[in-house]
Parts: sequence; C-alpha cells; structure tokens
Amino acid sequence: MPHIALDYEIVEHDLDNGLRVIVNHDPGAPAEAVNLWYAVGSGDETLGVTGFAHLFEHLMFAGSAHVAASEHLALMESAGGSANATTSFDRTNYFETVPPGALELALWLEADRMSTLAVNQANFDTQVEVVKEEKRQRYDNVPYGDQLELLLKLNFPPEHPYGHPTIGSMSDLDAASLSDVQGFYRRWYHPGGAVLTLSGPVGADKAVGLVEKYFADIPAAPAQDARPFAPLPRHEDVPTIQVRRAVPSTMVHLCWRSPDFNSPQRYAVEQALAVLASGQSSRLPSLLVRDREIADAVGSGDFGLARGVSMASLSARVRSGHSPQELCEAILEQLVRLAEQGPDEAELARVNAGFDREWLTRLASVDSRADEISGFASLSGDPHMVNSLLTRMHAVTADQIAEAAGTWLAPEHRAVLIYEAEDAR
Amino acid sequence: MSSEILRPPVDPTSTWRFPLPRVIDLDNGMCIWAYDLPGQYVITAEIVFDVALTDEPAGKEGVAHLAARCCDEGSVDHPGEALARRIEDIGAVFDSSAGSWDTRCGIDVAAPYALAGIDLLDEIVRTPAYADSDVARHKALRLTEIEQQRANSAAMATIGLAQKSWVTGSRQQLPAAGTSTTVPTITAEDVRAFHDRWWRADGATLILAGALPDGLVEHAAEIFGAWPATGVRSGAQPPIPAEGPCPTYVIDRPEAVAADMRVGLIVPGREWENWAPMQVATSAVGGLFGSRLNMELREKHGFTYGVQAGLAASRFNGSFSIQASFRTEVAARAFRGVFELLDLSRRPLEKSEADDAVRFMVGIAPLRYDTADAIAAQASVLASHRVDVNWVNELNERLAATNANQATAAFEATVGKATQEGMMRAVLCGDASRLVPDLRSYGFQVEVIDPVL
Repeated sequence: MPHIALDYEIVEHDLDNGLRVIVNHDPGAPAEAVNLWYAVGSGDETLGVTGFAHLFEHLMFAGSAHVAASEHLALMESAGGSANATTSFDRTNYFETVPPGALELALWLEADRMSTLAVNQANFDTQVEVVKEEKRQRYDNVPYGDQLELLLKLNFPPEHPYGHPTIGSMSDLDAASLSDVQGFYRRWYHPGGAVLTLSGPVGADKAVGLVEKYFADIPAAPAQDARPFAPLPRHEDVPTIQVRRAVPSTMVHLCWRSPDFNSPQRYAVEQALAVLASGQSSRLPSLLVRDREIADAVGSGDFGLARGVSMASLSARVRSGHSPQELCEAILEQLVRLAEQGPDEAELARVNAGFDREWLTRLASVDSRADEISGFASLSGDPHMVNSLLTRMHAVTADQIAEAAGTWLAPEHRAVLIYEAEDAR
Repeated sequence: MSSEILRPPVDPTSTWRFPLPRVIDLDNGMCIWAYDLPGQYVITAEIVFDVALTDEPAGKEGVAHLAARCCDEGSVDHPGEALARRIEDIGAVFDSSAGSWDTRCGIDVAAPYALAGIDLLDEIVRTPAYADSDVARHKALRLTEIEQQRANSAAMATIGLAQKSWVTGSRQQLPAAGTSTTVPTITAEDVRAFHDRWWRADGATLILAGALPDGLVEHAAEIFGAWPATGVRSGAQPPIPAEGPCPTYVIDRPEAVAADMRVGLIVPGREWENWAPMQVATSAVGGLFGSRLNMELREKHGFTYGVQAGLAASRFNGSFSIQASFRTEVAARAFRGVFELLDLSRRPLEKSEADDAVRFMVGIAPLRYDTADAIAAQASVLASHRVDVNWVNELNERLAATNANQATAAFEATVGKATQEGMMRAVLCGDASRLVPDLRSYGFQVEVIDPVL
C-alpha cells in the first residue's frame, strides 16, 4: 500500500446545458487554476484537413463577441495571470492560472469564446502563418523533427485517428479555409463537449456559482454522434521503418500497440516500462548505458491514447561505434527476461516509490492538478482518479507486470523505427 | 453567455509574499535556509556550493560540469549502481549542475522519505567515488551532447551570442559544460581534485523546502554540520562584457527553412537603481504576449511562432536578451523590425503598457512560486548570487512603484543607446546564402562565424 493517501477535495456539478464542472478547493493555494478540456483533438480530423484542430486552438484566441483578437492573453497577463492552450490527439485544453481576484474575468473570457467565436479572414490568415512557423520551429528545423510523424506512420494506418501528427501537414494548413471554421466550432465547441475544472482557494459553492453565472446561459448543442473508437490488433511481422538523416546519433524505437487509457491493463504495462527504463538503476539504463556502454540513453513511455488503442515505446540513442541491431537485440533479451521472471520485490518497490514522487510532483501545482482532473473526467469519466491512482498503481503485482510484458510488450508484436545518422561512426 | 453580462473587473488585492526561510548558520561556514511549506508533499533539498566556473583550471573547462554529472554514479560506501538503487529505492530523484557562480546538487523526495533523502544527499556530495570508467563515460556523453548542439540551430545561436557578449578569453564565452577541445583533456583525477577542493562547507547554502517533517532541519544541521571547514574561497570576479560596435553575426546552416535569432546586451545587475524599471520595460517591449515585439511580429505579420525578450540577473551583471525563430524568407525583414522596436525614442512606453507589465510581474509571482521546487530554485539563485532572502519581495515593491517614464529611461540608457550605436550583440543561425544578402540589403553589416564548441 502507498505511504501517501491522497484526498484532494473534488466537487462535481453538471450544468443543465451539459457542461461538466469540477471544483478542487485548495485553501492554501496562492492562485486559482481554470482548466477547460474540449473533447476534440487531431484524432477527430480526417486526411486532407490534418492540423485543423490545432489551428483552431489558435483561432480561439482570435476574438469573440466581446473580446478583440489577441486580447484574451493580454487581459490575463495584465491581471497578473497566465493563459495558454494545447492540442493533442484526444483533446484540446485551454487554461488560465490567475490571482483569485481575476477568476471572474477568466471565466467570462472562456464563456465568451465558448458562445461567440468571431474570426475574420485577416486574423485567420495570420494564424495559419503562425502555426506554420510553429511547425518549422518545433519540427522542420530541428534534428529528429520528423520522428513523431514516423512513429505514428509505423504504428497506425494513415486513415486511423492517430495516423497523423497533431501539427498536421504544410499542404493541409495551406488548404485550410475560413469557411471550415464555424462548422468545426459548432461540432466540437459546446458545453456538452467540455469539462471545466477549477482548482485553488475559491470554495466550491462560490466557484460553482460563478460558473453558473457565466456559462449557464450558453445553449446546449444538439446530440452529436459518438467519437470514432478505433481499436487495432497488436502488430504482427515486425513492421519496420528505417530512415537516414543528417543527425548526430542513431536512435532506435521499439513500439507496441498498447492498452488504451481506460483499460485496466495499462497500469501493468506502465509498470513494466518503468522496470525497464525509468531511472538510472532500472534494467535497460543499467545494462546498456552503464555496463555494456552500447547506448547513450534509454527511455520509455506510453502515449496514453484513449480510442481503443495506445502506443508504448522503448527508445534508445545508440552509442558511437555500435549498431542499432546490437542495441535492439539487447533490449529484446530483456523483454523476454521480464516476461519470464517478472520484477523482483525491490524493483517493484522502487518503481512504486518513483511513481509516488512523480505523481505528487504533478499534483503539487494547481494548474497541473486541474489538468489531471479534467483529463480523468474527460477521458475516463472519473475525476476522483487523481486520488486513487497511487492505490491503483501499487496494486499491480509482479506477476501482472510479467504478464503485461509478455502480452503487450512481446518481441513478436513490436514495430521498429531505426533513425540512422548519415555519418554514424 | 448573455451579452448583458459585462466584463468583470479584477480585484488586485493580494497579500502574497515570497516566503522567508528559517536561517541556521553552521559553525563550518555553511548556512541552512529552511522553507516550511504546508501541503507541499515533495521535499526539495538542494545544496549550493560557492564555486565559480572561473575556479576551473585553465584548459580544463568542463571539469565542474563533470564533477556534478558524475557524483551520483557511485559513492565510496555504495560504489557503482548501488548508489542509484538507494536513491530510487526511496523514489527520489537527484539532479546536479555547474553554473557560472555555483555548483548545485539537489534531491526531490516524497515527505515520508525526507530524512533518508538528507542522508543520501550528504553521501553523494561528500563521498562520490568518481570511478575512472564513470568519468570516461560522461566525457563521451558530453562530446555527444556537443554534436547534438551543433545540429541544433537554437542552441548554436545561444552559444554564438555568449561568445560575442564577453571579452575574448573570458570563461563566460565558453559553454559551461566545456568544449570539444577541453573535455578530452580532463581526467578522473582532475574531477576528484576539483571536487575535493571546491565541494566544501565554506560559503555553501543548504535549501530545504516543502512540508518539512519534524526534526528534518535539525537532522540536516547535524549531518552537514559535521563537515569540516577548509578555508578555501572562490576567486569569483565580475566578468567583462565585450564593448564597441559590432556586425550582425550569422552561423551558417545551409538550406535551413528557418533562422534562429538571439539578440543580447549585458547590462548592470540587481544592484542597479533602475533594475526594476528595466524589468518593466523589458516586459512591455517583448516579455509579454501583448508586448510590442510579439504583437508586431507574430500577431500582425505572422513572421514567428513567438518572440520573447527577457532580463536575467546574474551574480555581477544583468543580461537583456531576445529570442525568436523566423522562416528564412522573412528573417531579415523581421530582424529589422526587432531593432525598430528597440528604439523607444520614437515611441516611449505608454502608461497602460507599463501598468500592464507591472500588474503581470507582481501578480504572476505567487503563481510562479507555488511549489516547493520552484521556491527552492529561486532560493538557490539568491544564495548563489549572494542576495538577501527578502529580495523577491523588495523587487516586487520596486516594480509596483515604477512608472512608464522610468521604464522608458532605463531601457533607453542601455538597450536604446546600444541599438543606436550599433553595439547590440545579434546572432542569426540559418542559411547564410540567403540571410547574408537579405541582411545587407537592409543595411546591416554581417560577419559569418563558427562558434567554438
């Protein structure tokens, strides 16, 4: 059992128009976090319009009935707060962190753009350029910038919700049209498609009252079709992509189609990945970086995707003078070993203790805590998971970890991306 | 939302202050700053050693970094991986770094393991093993890291700016972690000697932050108080900025689709009477989303994903900087746009701009320092720079008292003057075959450089 029993206060309140409201009262926090998740992401795009969900996120700052273009962020800053938004595969989140005296302004701003987005051709055109600049800065002009795109291509068919990156393609961004904006807005941006979390010193009754004041009059949208659910079988025949690029070191990525965010099996997969590569003393860094010196670094992760399938990966940077094949074989041996023998008691205690710290760190600040609450409410329907996650994780047994490794991280169900340095030494 | 609901006013009332620590001076010259922060269940314990990069032996630049990087690879009592297992057994994470004016070693640990975390921190910093094989591996990793930096446009622009901001031969010109020339010359014996001389109680500060369990501070005082003083003092001296007019520097990356820009100027530091006004001006010109630079270059023209100006305090100086990435075809035009906006004599800051900047900086402080590790990080900076523990509160008071005229004057006296006299340092990393003629067509003198790395 965990040493730490979490009991963050969670109060839920649904508005008549479908907006799901969650308040986490934290009397000691210096600021109030406002976090709004819309259930739309790049997984809701189709081929030919990739990148639109993210472009739309930018347009949400381009003006509404009572707010001028670019004014949202400037108003938050001048109130001593911060604001931003991000787009991912399954959601788009908008968030403000403000002194308590600016909470009403933040809610008013979010409500205004939930009800009356107003984008014109000029600021549409500008934001298309800004997003293209973002793509250049973050993907096209950096080493390894196309790795994510290749990983998605390797693991998902092109037409699958996760078959393309959130940033989209330059040609699709060029083809995006202002005429598409209002249709997308009506389809996805309405109270019933959103979760609003407030975390901070404002008490639940007052917080709910303020949300009612600004959001209750926004009309509900007609019932919408359910989002596509798109499970996929595990890989067979080791799909492989190998590319050569002008980068300093070769990278290898071993990937698997893993249980989705809401699958009970995902906890054992995460623990298996942690046993393999979560800290200096975990198996792969210890063996490959320290002992055999065939890798410079090893990492692991799962994308936490929620439409019937996710993606897990083990990634390693190949040490100069060694081959990606040598490194892959060494990793596969360890996968087999974990599946056969599972972790020992000390390893299991170590990954649990590491997870405790990571999770407590994630919840330490009201803004990231509010985001986690919105995430659980939006993706799994249960915001109380922020309190129970440690217990869920600690309940995973060594046998379950071995079974998860053998089932979900099995060598025969892997896919491989080898990202080779042109002048690898 | 019904349109009759008017824009709500903001209540600016705030009683927040940066917390003041309980300060305990130990007999060996070390000091403990203890920040008890209820509700913060992850404890940060960080030791700040009084050692500057200028204390590295000449030709061995990077040895301070290697001493920091290798210290958790094994201790005398727990060699090799046994030490990492002990750290991870309690779910802790250890981190260390060597900066211009300090070496910092810190551990983050959940509160129930805090006492064990203190014992581990003491073991790591006092008795690292520095095995030959570990030092060799970290040297190789540093050389790989240098190759990664060479491939990264943004990193190269930052490195180039540092080299043009300080006088030739100064330590500030070189990357903190050393170069491809210096790192190969460093031996494990060099690392051990550097550790033994400079990682010591004299002048060190131990920061403790979080929901501190009963007895933790006393335990830390006992453990670290047992470390004998050595009497060794750092030779830290104020570094000398490069002066005089200079061209615009270009680092060539053939066929790059975008150019990374860094513009900078070394200015006086915290002790400057205009530090707070300069902070306000920097925010208004380029620190905020609603700042002049961002509104013009991103929101009006779509030249960039974002442009950001900042004013950072170091131990002896301040440094003003601007960073952005522009697509190659508009980079020179955007670059000229930056310099037009740095000349406030054409358009002094307005009251609303200065007021917005002040409200942002004063209002954002409690949000910025809302976790134990954020408070510990700021406290470490104060300790490293030998600044009073109340500095953040004093600065906020000065910011709140700053008006637009004072902000404009501080900016004009430094950045504005340097802009007019061609003394700003500016580096663009991108496709020189396109950038150089474009920059020259706008009247900029250009020199292509290859930074030392």
